[in-house]
Amino acid sequence: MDISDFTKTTRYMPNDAFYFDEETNETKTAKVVETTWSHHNEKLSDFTFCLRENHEDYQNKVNGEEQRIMEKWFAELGYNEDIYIIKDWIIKEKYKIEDEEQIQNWLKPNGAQVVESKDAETI
Amino acid sequence: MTLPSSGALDFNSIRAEFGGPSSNVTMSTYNRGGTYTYAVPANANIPTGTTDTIEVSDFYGAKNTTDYLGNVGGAHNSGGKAPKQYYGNSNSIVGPLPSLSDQSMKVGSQSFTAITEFFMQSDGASGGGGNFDFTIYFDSGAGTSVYGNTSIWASRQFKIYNSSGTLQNTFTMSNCAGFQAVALIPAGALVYTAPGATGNYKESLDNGRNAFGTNPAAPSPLQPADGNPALGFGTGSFLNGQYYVQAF
Repeated sequence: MDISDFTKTTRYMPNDAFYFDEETNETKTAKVVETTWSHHNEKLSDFTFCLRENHEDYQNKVNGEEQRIMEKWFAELGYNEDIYIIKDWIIKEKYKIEDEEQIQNWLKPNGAQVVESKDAETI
Repeated sequence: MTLPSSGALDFNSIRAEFGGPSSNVTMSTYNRGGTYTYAVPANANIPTGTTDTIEVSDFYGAKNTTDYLGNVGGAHNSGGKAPKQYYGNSNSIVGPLPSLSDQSMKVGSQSFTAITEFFMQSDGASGGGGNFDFTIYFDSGAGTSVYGNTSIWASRQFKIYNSSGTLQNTFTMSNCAGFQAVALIPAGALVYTAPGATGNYKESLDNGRNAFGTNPAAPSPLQPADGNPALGFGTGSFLNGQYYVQAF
């Protein structure tokens, strides 16, 4: 199940913030940006995140918050974490055999890619 | 960046530095070891318990999360006749492990923002059965000028803290890490770099390079990559839950 159907909007907060610039050793002020995530499924909650503009880790922090929101929506939808996992906004069965490598490992658990072959004389 | 160590400081600035929701947010949101305030030595003045008294002044000089990798790791056992136990986070290699929500950290003087794998693996139904390996995938696009830089990688320590800020272990890369493959490996030999040209680091490949110690460019004596045995590196089960990593 794909839950990537959401809208992300930003706006400035009314008050500026203080921070210490380690390069110039000065206390400076910056605008604060609020990001809001709204899912198109109305049963799921909206979430917000505030961070100062031009924060040196801005994109990573917003991405990290988006990952946490993805987990929160996953929980709100009622999925059992022991059975399901969410990655890249797709909810799928945790232990489902999908790719060719997994299939081969399932069919031949001691295949050459797991246990190195030895000739009969060595054995 | 940090918060000012004196003078004007308010709740709005704390939130703008560490990040956080715009509503339903309290000072306890920023307890050390919580989602937004990492339990690292620089934040030692910030209380950990949700019932502790917390004040704006506790945040003077506090450091945001930028330079540290902080994630909630998971556990996975592959099962089968040759089971492998995994602990940590994975965006793609180990599907059942959770993805990394924080992908940035500083290693030496170099900042990375697209780390995709951070996990330990070992053999056995519950791990600890040998073939220990530690995997970190750094930014794929940083290039060989970064990955061939010995000042960043050689003998680099990765200190791993738990949610209380207690040091769980220190993983140290080999003193060969960062050396250009051509400087260490004779022509025609299997080429290993640590990390590789696209940022993939594996402890096993790092130590595989030590076999080429007769090359005159190799550091002497060679010291392999390893966790600190005195702290019980074990299976890496301390990556199952909240952890923070410092490597600068």
